[in-house]
Amino acid sequence: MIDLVFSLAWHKHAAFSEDVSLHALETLPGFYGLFGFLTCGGLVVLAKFMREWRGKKILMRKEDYWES
Amino acid sequence: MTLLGSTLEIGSHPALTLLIGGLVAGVLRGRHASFALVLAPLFGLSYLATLEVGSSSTLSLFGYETLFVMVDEQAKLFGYLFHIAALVAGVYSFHVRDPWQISMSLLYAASAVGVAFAGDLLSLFLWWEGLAITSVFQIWGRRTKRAEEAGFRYLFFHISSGLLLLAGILILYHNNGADGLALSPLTDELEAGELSALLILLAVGIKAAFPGLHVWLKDGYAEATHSGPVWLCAFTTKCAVCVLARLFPGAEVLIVIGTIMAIFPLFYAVIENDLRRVLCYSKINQIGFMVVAIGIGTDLAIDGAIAHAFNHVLYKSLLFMCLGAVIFRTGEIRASHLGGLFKYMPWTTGFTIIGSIAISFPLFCGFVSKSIIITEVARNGHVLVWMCLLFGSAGVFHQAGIKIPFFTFFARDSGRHPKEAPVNMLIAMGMASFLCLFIGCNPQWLYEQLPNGAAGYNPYDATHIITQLEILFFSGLSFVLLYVFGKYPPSLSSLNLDIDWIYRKLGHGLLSFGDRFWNGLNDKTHQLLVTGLTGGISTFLKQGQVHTMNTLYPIIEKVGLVENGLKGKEHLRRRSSLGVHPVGWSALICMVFFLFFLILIIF
Repeated sequence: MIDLVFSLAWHKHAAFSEDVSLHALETLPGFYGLFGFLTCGGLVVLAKFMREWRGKKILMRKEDYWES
Repeated sequence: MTLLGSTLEIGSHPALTLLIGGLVAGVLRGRHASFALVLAPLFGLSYLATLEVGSSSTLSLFGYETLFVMVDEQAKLFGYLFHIAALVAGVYSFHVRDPWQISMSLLYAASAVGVAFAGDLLSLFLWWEGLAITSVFQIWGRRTKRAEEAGFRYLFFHISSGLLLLAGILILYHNNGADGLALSPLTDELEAGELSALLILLAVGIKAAFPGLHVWLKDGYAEATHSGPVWLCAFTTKCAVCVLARLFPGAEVLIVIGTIMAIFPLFYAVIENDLRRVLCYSKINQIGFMVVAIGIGTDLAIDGAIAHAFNHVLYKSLLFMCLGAVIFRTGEIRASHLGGLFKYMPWTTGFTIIGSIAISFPLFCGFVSKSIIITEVARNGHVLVWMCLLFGSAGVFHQAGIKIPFFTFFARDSGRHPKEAPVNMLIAMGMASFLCLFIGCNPQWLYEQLPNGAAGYNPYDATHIITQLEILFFSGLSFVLLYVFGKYPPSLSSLNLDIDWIYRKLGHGLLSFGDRFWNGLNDKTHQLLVTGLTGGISTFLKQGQVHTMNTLYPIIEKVGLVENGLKGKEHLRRRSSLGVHPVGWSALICMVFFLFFLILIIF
């Protein structure tokens, strides 16, 4: 939201110079917000799969796994 | 190498005050030892301020002149960092009464200062080994079986690191003579694939927790004492960053390694239950940023890496202190068993929140150094790496920034009603919080100390602040939404397999396979050779003697040496099977054989 308001009234100094293709993407209104939101959502979803995948445990073990 | 301005006496090594403090603390008992924890870093800090950039000192060691101390901007900044970290951790550990822990923690800090000021590879190696040995006492100090085992695993990694470093140094020395020992960049050698540079990178990589070599970190820190990780997080990995910045600036492989480090631990952080391990994973993520910056290798990027190492110690030790206080008061650190502590530990809660927002929010220290790295990555056109770091930055806020304070102090009521942390702990947390805020608000104080002065970089650019805040807020929003809708993975009493599975399970399997294979081979050989072959030969020879005598019986009987008849034959058989014959007999046989051999020899 801040960015939307901000991008209407201000010219952003993008991190990339204008000849890099990412420049256009980066200066899109809301790019950073969307990026943060989606990647972190993806992070959690993927991490849950690392725990278990379709009821099958992948990385998660009982706490005394190493002792037993 | 910097020109030598003046020569320091060896007695004035910057690590000396910490060394003496450590030895004194080892002798003193009770509260007196704790004073050494506070006084040694203070004196060291005041001495450090008087050191002139460009001065150096040599030491004659095993017949070699080694550049024991070399003062440059980077060394000085790391020196300040290590002293400040030791001071804060010292105040925090003021109540600790274990002389081993106190003494070794100061010696550990001294080793770190030694690494920062080491002028060549030989002195670097000596201090490097010191780091390994002194640090493990922060884990063993817990005095549980698990801590003891974790300590040995930790030592295994760090001693291996020292040996790899030594191997690399010896190869360099073999190839280039004494010139090879200079602490100059090895980037070209690394890119040419030289073994020495590879070994040294691997040695530093173990200490810097490169992916695959990182397990010691989460394994050791999670088993350490409540104050242990405050010491551990300040020195070992930062020494590795310091050495990486000296030896491998601009090595492109580091960009790849660093990017992986910035991402993969985040996934583990989401599902990890032990909150100190969550911090360890976020620590690997932050070191990833520094490694990427060193890989880029421009002046500004190296400055960014060093500045970030500095700030990272401040906020990470603050967070470890807060969690240490929670362990100290509740004896618990699993997210599944904690929650709702904010009513009982309000100050600790406040400091934890400061620590977590200090990682990336404007006005706090993490922001002013991480920005340098991310901007420099973008300027050098690494699009993918930039996106990964942006994700790393958002993700670490999601984990260390929100998960840790939320699950410890809020979330739900765990039914625990601990007291607030002891005063000395609160003072230490306050000191670290103040520094986080102070450097965040006055970044020029830090920038001026950097080797290249950060080349006039300004982190407080309106666009930059807004975009970074935006990414953080939306990352936070995703946490809130996931949590509210019950999609966030619940905290479960569990552990997660990491690379350690390879050596802890596969290694164990390998060991038992080795046990079965080699010991089986041993048994088989024993059966075949010792009981089988040797036994067979001895039986054969024994029986052979009996048969020979039996064959010779008619002659012996004729000569009249035994009685006639069956009785005589039986006597002879028994004598020969026992191998005993009357003396005269034996002498006769010997004589016969002797003559026989004599004839053989003569003719």
